[in-house]
Order: sequence, then structure tokens, then C-alpha cells
Amino acid sequence: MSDQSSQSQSLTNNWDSLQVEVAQYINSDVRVPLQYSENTKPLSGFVQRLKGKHGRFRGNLSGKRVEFTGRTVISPDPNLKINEVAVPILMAQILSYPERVSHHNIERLRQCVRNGPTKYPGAKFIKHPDGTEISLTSKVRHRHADDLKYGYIVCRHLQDGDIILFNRQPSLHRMSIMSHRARIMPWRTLRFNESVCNPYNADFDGDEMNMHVPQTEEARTEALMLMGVQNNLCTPKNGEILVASTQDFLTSSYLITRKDTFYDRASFSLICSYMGDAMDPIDLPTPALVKPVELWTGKQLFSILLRPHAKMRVYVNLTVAEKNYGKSGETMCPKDGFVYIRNSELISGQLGKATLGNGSKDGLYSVLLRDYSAHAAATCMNRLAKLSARWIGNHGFSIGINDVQPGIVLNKEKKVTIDKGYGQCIDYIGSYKSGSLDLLPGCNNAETLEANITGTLNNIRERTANVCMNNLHWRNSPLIMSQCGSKGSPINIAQMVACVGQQSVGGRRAPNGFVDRTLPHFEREAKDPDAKGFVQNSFYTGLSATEFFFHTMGGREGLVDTAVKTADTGYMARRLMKALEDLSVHYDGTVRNASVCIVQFVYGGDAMDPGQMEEKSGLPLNFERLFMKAKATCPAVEQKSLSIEEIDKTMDEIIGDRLSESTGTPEGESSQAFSASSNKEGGMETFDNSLRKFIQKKYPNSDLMLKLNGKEHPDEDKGYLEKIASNICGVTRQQLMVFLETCISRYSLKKIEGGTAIGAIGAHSIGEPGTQMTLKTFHFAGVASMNVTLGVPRIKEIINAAKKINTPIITTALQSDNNEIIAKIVKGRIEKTLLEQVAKSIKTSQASRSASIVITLDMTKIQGAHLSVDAYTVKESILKTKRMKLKEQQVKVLDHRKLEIVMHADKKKLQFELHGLKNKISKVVVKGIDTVERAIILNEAKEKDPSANKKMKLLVEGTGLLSVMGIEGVEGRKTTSNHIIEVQHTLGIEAARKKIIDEIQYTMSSHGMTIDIRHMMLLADLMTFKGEVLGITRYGVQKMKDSVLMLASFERTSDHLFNASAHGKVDKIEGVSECIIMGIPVQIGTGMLKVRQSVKPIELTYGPDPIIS
Amino acid sequence: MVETLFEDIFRVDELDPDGKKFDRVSRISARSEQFDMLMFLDINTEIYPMRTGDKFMMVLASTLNLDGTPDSGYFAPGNKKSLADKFDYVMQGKLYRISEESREKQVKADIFVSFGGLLMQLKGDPSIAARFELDQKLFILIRKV
Amino acid sequence: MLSEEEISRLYRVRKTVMQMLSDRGYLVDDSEIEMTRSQFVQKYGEGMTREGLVILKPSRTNPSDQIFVFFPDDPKVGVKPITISTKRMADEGVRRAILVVQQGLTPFAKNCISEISSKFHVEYFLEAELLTNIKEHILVPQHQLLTPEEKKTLLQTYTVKDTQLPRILMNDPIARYYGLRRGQVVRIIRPSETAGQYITYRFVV
Repeated sequence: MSDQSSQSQSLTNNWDSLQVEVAQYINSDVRVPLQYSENTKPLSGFVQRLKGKHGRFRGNLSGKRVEFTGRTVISPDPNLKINEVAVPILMAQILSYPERVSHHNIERLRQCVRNGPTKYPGAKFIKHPDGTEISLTSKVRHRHADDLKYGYIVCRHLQDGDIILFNRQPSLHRMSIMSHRARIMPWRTLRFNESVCNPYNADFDGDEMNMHVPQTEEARTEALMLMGVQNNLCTPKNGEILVASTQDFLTSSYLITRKDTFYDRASFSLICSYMGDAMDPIDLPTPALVKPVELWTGKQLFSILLRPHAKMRVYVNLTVAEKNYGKSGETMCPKDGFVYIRNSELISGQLGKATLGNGSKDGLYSVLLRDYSAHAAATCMNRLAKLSARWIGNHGFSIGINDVQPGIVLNKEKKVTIDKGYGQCIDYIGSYKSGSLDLLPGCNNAETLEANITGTLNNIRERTANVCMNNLHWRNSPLIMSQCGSKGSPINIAQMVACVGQQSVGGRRAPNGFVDRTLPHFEREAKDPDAKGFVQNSFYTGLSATEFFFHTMGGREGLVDTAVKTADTGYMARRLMKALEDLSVHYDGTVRNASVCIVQFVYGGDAMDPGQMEEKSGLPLNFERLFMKAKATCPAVEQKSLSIEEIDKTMDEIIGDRLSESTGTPEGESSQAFSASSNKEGGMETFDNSLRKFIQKKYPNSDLMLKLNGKEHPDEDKGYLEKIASNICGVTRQQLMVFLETCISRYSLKKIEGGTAIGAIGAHSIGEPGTQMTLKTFHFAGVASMNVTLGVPRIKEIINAAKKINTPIITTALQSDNNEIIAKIVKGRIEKTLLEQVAKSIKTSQASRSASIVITLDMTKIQGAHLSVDAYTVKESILKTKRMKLKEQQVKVLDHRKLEIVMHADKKKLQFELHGLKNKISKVVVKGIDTVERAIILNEAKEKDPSANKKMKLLVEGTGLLSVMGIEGVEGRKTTSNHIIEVQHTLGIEAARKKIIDEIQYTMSSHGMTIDIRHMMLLADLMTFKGEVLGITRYGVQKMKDSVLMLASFERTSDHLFNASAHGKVDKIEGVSECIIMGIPVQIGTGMLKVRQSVKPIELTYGPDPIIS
Repeated sequence: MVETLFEDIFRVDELDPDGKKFDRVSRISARSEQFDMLMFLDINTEIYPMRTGDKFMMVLASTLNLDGTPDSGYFAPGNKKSLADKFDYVMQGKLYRISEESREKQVKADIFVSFGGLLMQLKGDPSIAARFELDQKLFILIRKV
Repeated sequence: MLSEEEISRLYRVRKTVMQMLSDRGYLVDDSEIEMTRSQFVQKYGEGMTREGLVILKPSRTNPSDQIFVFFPDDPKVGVKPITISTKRMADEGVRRAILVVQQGLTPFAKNCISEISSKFHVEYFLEAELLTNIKEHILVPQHQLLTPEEKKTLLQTYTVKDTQLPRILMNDPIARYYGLRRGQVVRIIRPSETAGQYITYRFVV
């Protein structure tokens, strides 16, 4: 009997341990009862093999190891073209390209075969058409070389001009992988032109980069056409130019174009020859100074760079205000800060980053790219790179200790400013201690003090910085670099020369690390600048011990922040990519996901390609510039300028022509009432209207013209007046036609192409700027005390569609926004007011069997705050409050300012309950919305102008949009919240969509980042197209996508797989992730189309074409 | 004799009205005697110094050829006789802008010329501006008197 | 007896309800929408009760299709007022009704509504939701209900099934405002920063 039981006992034991084994075989993380988990051998179950970054899905299926790759350190070489990469010979001998032998290359390939794998340029293998592969290591290769036939494939070494893909991690946007042409060079680094650093975000402090060699002609062509550097000069994020001159190129251009650089014939010719290796024809212009000596200016050098000889038909026209532009006088700016290039001639201005650098839309290269071609821009960059590198090599540019020595003036001025500022701070501290500080709106005493002191101290740094910048000699190297924009900012210089300034941690002055003080060097509760981290020394003079410590505190915060943020943004970018990867533009103009659900009916509302937008705010064209170009390139020789009526007529003709063309198409007619194309034409119509409006602005409006039209003039007088007027602002018919035609034709070229993977581009465009956001996490929303979350945390909140956000703020519009008293009344209605805040006293009294609480209201306080509260309303609010358990009879109103609450209970409990009740009573909300923390009145009108109408609104901290909208006196129709989920619940999905766009845009723009609004529209549309706001998180993505494989490769691999197998799910392999996992072409871009016609295989004849057939 | 477009005698009012910004180049503001023109001009003072109060004759011409044949656009130095012979300081540039400014019903015209980055602004009666064309090549010839 | 504050609330609620009925295609006189507060007080007099505000409006296209709007007195509406209301609906042959409640429905009442949904279509709104007309909010674009023919053309033009259109939930505030039913499609005309105006569609689920 006992035997049997022990047997069954061991059986169940074994059964259980079998269960454990099986469970662990599948998932070794499975929780196991303690007695079975003795053997702690590190086994890995099926689930572990699949999941995680190095699991099967993400490690082996979504990304695979490939051959024909190389990786090494990078270094710069300005002599290379921007689309070239110098590949070390050693690398070129390992990487190979399978070239098919044909009539054209047989001799060359034969030589390669003879050279073999070790001698460059050689070959590694021969592949015969029947599939046999011959290694060329042995001496027999000479025989193979002789036997080489058409159709064989020779895996030859990499050669000059071969297409390679070049990449630097992290690959945050599509410009992180671009295709270059190889230049085989000696030594051991990969080299490229510095102009291409920007898209890769590379520097040469030891960075390594990867290269890949595409192995088929098809792949090469696609790489060249789609990924070539020349085709990716612009970022699709906002159309700004990304490949542009940097660093030394800017410095030397800045120095060359200084007004007082002159060259004699010899040196001018020499420098001219720098830019094209003395191989390009150059027309030497007339010297700017003819007499007493022939001298050319540096600006003439630049005119040559733009247009070396007369046969080159490049006419650049642009105006840019550089950093040092004095804000008036345009070209006559005394500092020469206004760049004007007219017909490829540099008229005025010292060139700097705004003209030549990245991140601008009307710089030189942007203009070349838009008005001419990518090739024009690229050759110009090449010329500038060569010129600059060689010129600055001769000129010399260095930095030394004397560059950062402050002058006598600066030292004096600095002492005065610091003494004054410190005096001010001490005054503030004094009045803080005596309590006589004027409070800022919404701040308490301590906050006001902090705000004032911070303001004063920042002012000190700014003032000393200004003095410092004004007293530096123009030859000061840091100054030159900061002015031309190549490196460093005025703040950096001021910190080296004058004063380092306030150190901050978490947006405040240095916190107290000891009891009531920052460091033991200071007194307790010290608030003076030195004790809270103000560094008055400069890096040149050296920091004192305490200053140094504060500086490291600030420095550490920066380091921690970057370390934390990279992980955060990386994950965010991954999620964005997974959610948006399959969105693409289809040929009917709609944006759809992989399961052909429509996300947008027309991409971005107007079907424009964000990468091609020329105007700063994201409009397709910069009319102003194009008009200028049209006027400059079509001289008004002998042509009369048009009158207003004539202009209108010409405009109607041209624009009208085009409209009739577009409506003539069959689809335009077929879908009249309900046109699918109504959206498309909507965009076009808006464009036409904006064009018309622009021209109307450009009507001749000269005073002379008015004079001419107004009064009678003698004939000869009229003649000259007309001539001047037309010179000033006239438009000839030809100019107008050219302008309109370029606008219209270019507009239609900017349409987004069918097949574009616009989702992926959008994900990049939002993910990549995230990595650049600095540690500005808070920002004042108009009032000093009201903060809003910004930066990566805020973007995360929006994208995650977080239910609980850090700083919810309801921007409340008022029905009458010019009356302060009404604003205060409404504020009182909204703001949460507790009973204890309005009660003069809450007294308890106790008898043997009953007790009571008597509440006396402070009526002066209530009236002061414009609250409508009296004993009756208080009674109501007490009764309304949940978990009070009071009956109506218990609350008695004695008079309008007094009420009594009577309690009956056991004697034992009475005392206890009375106090409990008193505490609860004091927290009763007598007025306002209990989800609201506080409200602040904001006057939007300009503060300087007291006579102007006030424009009040309320900023309400907290949630409860619906209740705030319902408050009397609030203009509910204009009241919004920054809480997206709440907006969805109160105003609907469409309002939430708009809010997502607005909030992302606000966050990005407060970090100085411009992202085309179309990307944000797409993201918002994706987040809302299922009817509810879905976050870009595992939960949201799960609802957006149908594919199991895609979800498994995203997160929670095992759950999705188990679930799918249990339900017998089918995956159609439509999306990007699925296709990559299965290794088949993706249905996006060039993979979207398939040829459905059977074609007879073409018979290729090798050898020359017969002359007579 | 060659046709000049403009001729007058100027007096330098001020050197570098906005402060000296460049070592070798100064901006002079000068006023003419005959037509009451106001001129701002950048001059290479290293090779042609100017002082306040200096009087000089200024000529604008579209060509240096004495016979008045238009300038070819190409620079061909040589020992040919030219208009420049009579002057000390000659610059070549391009007219890039004509604009107007009206103050109290008085309309003044400005012409702007860039001599390879050295700028000139000539402000005066509109009738003078009528002689000039946009994108015209101009020579400025200066001789002190 | 209602306090002044409550009268103001009711006035605002009633105005929104009138606008809503008009937007849904019921015959509502302009004077009823434009009614000022004093006119409102005049009309319903001193002894104003919520029950007294009851509204009955016929459809503009089909006069026999009528809708009731009830304003129950209880703060938290239970089953009883609903049964009374449905009885009245049955008496007058009305199939649709809107309940405007102060604080919400009891769970039983919600059950009750879904039970009778085959016979009577009853929707309910909180008073707080109707204080401001969300349709007029600056963030809310214009919504239009498509006719079945229009829907068919739309689906043909884009060659999609209705489930492949962007969606709007039935309990979306705007969908509730228009009383949208599953399977309908709304056209949304948004002002667009890029194109001036942008038209999109949403399928009600």
C-alpha cells in the first residue's frame, strides 16, 4: 500500500519535472517551482532563440550578415569629388565585382585574370555560364586568361568608378547610406570629401564606416539613381540642403570674400587654377581695380568659381542675409553681411554658413540645385573644396593663447558689470528676506527671487560677452570661425575670454548637496551668485575650486543626459519605423498601408514631395527669389514694361491655359460630383491663387510711376521717367512669362512620385531630430511659473498617446478677453478652491452625545478672489462630495457666512470621527473643478503698449477640458488642451489629429527644428485612422497591423507566435518586415510594379554591330 | 572725345561713417558740387589714400576706349591709350540696382554699382539715373583736384 | 425650483440640442436656435422643470420620422424614467429619442436602453457635453454624412472596401452629435495648411 503510494508519488514528481523540462525546453524563462529548479545549467529555450535583439527575428531574419563589405577608419580628403570615396587598395583586392565578359572589356578583364588575386587590378574567380567557378590563385590563371570568352563572369577587384554603398551607424535617416563611386587609393583609410560629413554625421576623430559592393548591374543602377549622393543633396525632412560646405571651407570662403582681399595678376591666376587643378578653362575677368595697379578682389574669385567661363550657362541669383548683417541697408551693409549674387556675379557680401552651409533653403547650393541641377551644385562644391583647402593651406589658420587674452577694456568693463549685477542680486536677496519682493504672476517668494537672480546673472554674461565680441580684432581666429559659422558660437568665445557664467543643473542654479548649502565653502541658506554656481572667471583666467566644482556639476548633467537620451530616442525611432514602414504613396495619390487601407487620401493634402519644397515654411516655391531670377536673367533690353492691366491679362492667359489642360483629362470629367481628384486640384488651385496674389504684390508701385500717371508731363520728361520707373520695378512681358512658366512647370515636377515609401521617410524625419534635441526639457508657457514639458519626453508622450501626461495645460479663451475682473471671476470659477482656503475658522465643539463643527467663512477673502461662495453653496458642495456620509439634516446653515455640522455617534468613537470629519471637511472643494491644479491669467497683448486692448486668456494647469469648456464666461469653442487623449474624448478624433500635429510642431519648433508639416500630418493620420488615437507602442501597433510576422519581429515575439498558431492565423506577406523576413522584394518603390507580359528572351550578340544589315 | 555718363567734382565729407571695418578698404561719403549728388564709395585706401575734405573729380564711363567703342567684356591689357590715362584711380564694375526714395514729395533715385565687391551708391536727381541701365558695365575714374 | 445657474445651463444645453437636431436634418425653426436667455425664461416661465423642456421634432425630409428629446429630472437616471419615456414614444409612434441627463445613467438604465434598441433608438448625452457645441470648436472640422449612393461612388473611385477607409468610432463625440450609425461614411472637410482645403472620409464603426 505504502509502496503504491510512494510509486504514485514519484510518478507525479516525475510528471511534474517532465512538465518543467518541456516548459523550459520551450521557454527557459518560465517560472518553475523551487524544488525543480536545482539544476541551474544555462539552457536557452526556443523562445529565447527567437526573441530579443540577437534572436532569430531581429538578429537573423530582419537583418542578415552579408558578403562584399568593408569597414575601416575614415579620414577627409578635399581633393575627392563629393560623390567619391577613396577605397584602400587592400580593401579593393578583397572586395570584388562580377563583371560579364563582353567585346568591350575582354582585354581589360584578361589582364585582371592574369594579375590574379594578389596583384591589383586583378581578379579572384572566373564563373562559367554552366556554373563552374575557377579560383585564380594558381599559376594556371594565365591559361584561363587566354581562354576567356564572351559571357564568362570575372570576379574582378574593385576599380575606379565602381558603385559602392557607404554607411555610418547609427543609420537614422536615409542619407546615412548613400552610394558613391570608388577611387582606389593607397594607404588604409576610407576617405571622402568633408562636404559629405553632414548626412552621415561623421567626424574624423576615429569614426569607422562601412561599405558594401552591389553585385549586379540592376542593383548598381538602382543604387546610383536612388541612393547616389547627387540625388540626396537635400533632406526629405524639410527640403534643406544637407550636403554642403563645412568647417575650413566656410572659413576660407569667408576670408577670401572679405572686402579688403586683393590679388595681383599672378596670385589671382594661381588661385583660379586651384579650383579645377588648372585643367578647366577660365575667363579672366577685368580687374576690379584697373589703376594705379591691376588688382582683383576675392569676390571676383568667387564669381569665377560660380561661372568659370562664358560657355557655362549657370546664372545664379540669390540674396542671403549672413550672420553679421546689420539689419538694414541691404547690400550697403557696412559689415558687408548681405550676400547678393546676380547672374553668377558676387555683388556684395562676405560668404559664410548661411550662403554655403547646410540647413538653409536659399543658400548657394540650394539655388544651384533647384534652378539648375544636382550636378551643377556638386561641381560647385567640388571646386570650392579644392580651392578652400589649398588656399587655406597657404594662408594659414591657427589658434593660440593670444586669441583668448582679454584686453584692458574688457577687463574693466567686466568688473563693472559683475559688481553691478552682484549688487542687484544682493538687493533682491535682501528684499526676499524682508518679504518685500514684488511677486511675479503665479510665483511665490522663493521662485520670484530665483527668476530675478537668474535673469540678472544671465544678463551679466551676455553683457560681458558683447563687450568681448566687440573688442576682438577681426583677425582673431575664434571670432572668424564663429562669424562665418564654421565652428563655435559667441558664447563659446565669451566663455574662453570673458566669463563662463551661470552653471545650471536641471534648469535651476546649482542645488544644495549639503545641509542648506551647495558646498561647505558657503554659509547656510546662501543665495548669492557665487554660492549657487555663478562662474565669474573665464577659461583663460582659470576657475576657482568652487567654480570648478559647479562647472563639473553642469558638465555631468550634460553627459548623463546624452547617454540617457540616445537610448530613449533610439527606441522611439525604432517604434516609429515599425509603425510607419509600410505606408507608401500609391498611383492614385492615396497613402495606404500594406493591407491597402487608406491612411490619407492625398499625401500631405497637396501631394507635394516635402524634400523638394523651396520655401522656408514648406510651400513649394519661393516666388520672391524666382521673380528676382526671372528679372535678372531676362534683361529688359528694348522691351517696354507692362502696365497693371497687361500683367493681369498675361497672367490670366497663362494660368488659364493650364487649368483648361488639367480639367481636360478624362478622370477630371468622370468624377464631377464626387471627384476623387477634387483634393488634387484643390492643391493646384491654392497654388494658382498664391501665385496670383504674389504677382499682385509685385505690381509696379514706384512713386515715379505714380507721378507719371498722375500729372501731365512734357514729352521728353515722360520718356526718362518711364525709363527709370521700368528700371526700378517694371516687368516686361518676357520676364513675366518666364517667371510664370518656371513656377508652373516646376510646381508640377514637385509632385510626390507613386511608390514613394513616405512612411519610412516620415519616421526618419521625426526620429532623427529627436537625437539632436538637447536637454531643454522645460519651457515657460508665457508665464514664468507655468512650465510645459518639451524635448524628447514630450515627443514621447505625444507619440505614445499617453493617458497621463506630465504637464497638462488647458488654454482657455474668454468670452470677453479685455476685462481683468471678468478674467479673475472666471479664474475663480475654474480654479480648485478648498474649504480651508476660504474659511476663517473651522471649530469643533463636543457635548456628551453629539458634536458639531462650526465653519465660519472669510467673506473678505472670498470677495477679493471674486468667488461666489456663501454658506448655502458650501453646504451643497459638502453634500455633493463623495464618501462624506453626511445627511442633509446634519448640515445646518446658520447665516450666509456660518454653517454647522452636527454629528451623532457613540461617545467612544465621537472624538475620533470628529477629527476625521474635520480633516475631510477642510479638503472639500467649494468652487472650481477638482482636476484643475491652478489657473493663471495671461495677457497676450504687448506689455509695452498699455493703451492697446488687453487680450486675456487663462492657462489652466490640469485636466478636465469638458468641464472648463462648460464654465460660464469661457469661450468653449476656442478652448483647447495639450492632452491629446482628452481632446479625443471631448472633441473627437479629428480634433485629436489636429492637436497631434500642432503639439509635435510646437515641440520641434521650440527646439529650433523645422520639419515639414506633411510628415507630422502622416503620423497624426496614422495614429488616428482606426478611429481612436493609437500610440506608437506595442499596443497601438498591434491594432494598426495585421501581420503576425511583423508584430513578432517588433516586440513580444513569443506571445504573437503562440497566439497565431493557436488561432491558425494567415500572413499574406505584404508588409515590409514580412517581405524582408521571407527574403522577397518589398511592394514599395521600384518593387511596386511587376511586368505581366511574357517577353521572348532577347538574343544578345556580342561583337560590333554589323554596319549593313 | 569719349562720351562719359556722368562727371562731377566731389568733396569727401566723411571717412567710414559706420566705423572702420576693414584694414585696406574705407567707405567714403562724398557730395558733389554740380548736381548735388550724395555718394558712398568703397575705396582701397592702401593704394589710394583719401582724407576728409579731399576734393576729387569723378567720372563714370561705360568704356575706357578713347574712340568710344564699347567695352568687349574681356580684359586685354596693353599700352593702348585710354581714358584712364588722365586719372589716378580707376575701377571697373557692374550696375546692379536702381531704386528710388521719396521724401516730402522729392523723389531721389539711387544707383548701385559693385566694383568686384567694392560698392558705390549714388543718390541724386532721377534724371541722372535715366542715363544708366541695369547690368551695365561701368568704369569709375577718379582724379584728385 | 431651479437656481439661476441651472437655468443658464439648461438654456445653453437646449440651444445646443436645437442646433444638433437641425444639423441632423430635423425641422427646427431658426427662432428656436437663436432664442435668447430672457426669451427662454419667458417661454418656460417661473416653475421651470427639466421635464417641461421636452422637445419633439419631425425630420425635414420625412415628417413621419420624429425624434424626442427628454430631460429627466433625476440627477442619476434609472430605469423608471426610461420606461415612462418609451411609453410616450410608443404612444406617439416615435422611434428615436435623446435623453439629456445630469450626471449619468445607472448601469440598469444602460442595459434597458440596449434591450429596447430593436424597437426604440435611444441616445443619451450628459448636460456637461452639451454646454458648448463641439461642432463649432476651432479644432473640429466640418463633417457631412454621405448618402448610400455617394458612398458607393467613393468606394468605386478608390477601389476599396468600406473597412479599408479611415474610421471613426460610434462613440466619438462628433459621431454621437450627428447620431451616426455603423456602416455610414462621413465626409470631413478640413482646412489644410498645405492645400487650403482637404477632403477625407471616415467609416463609422
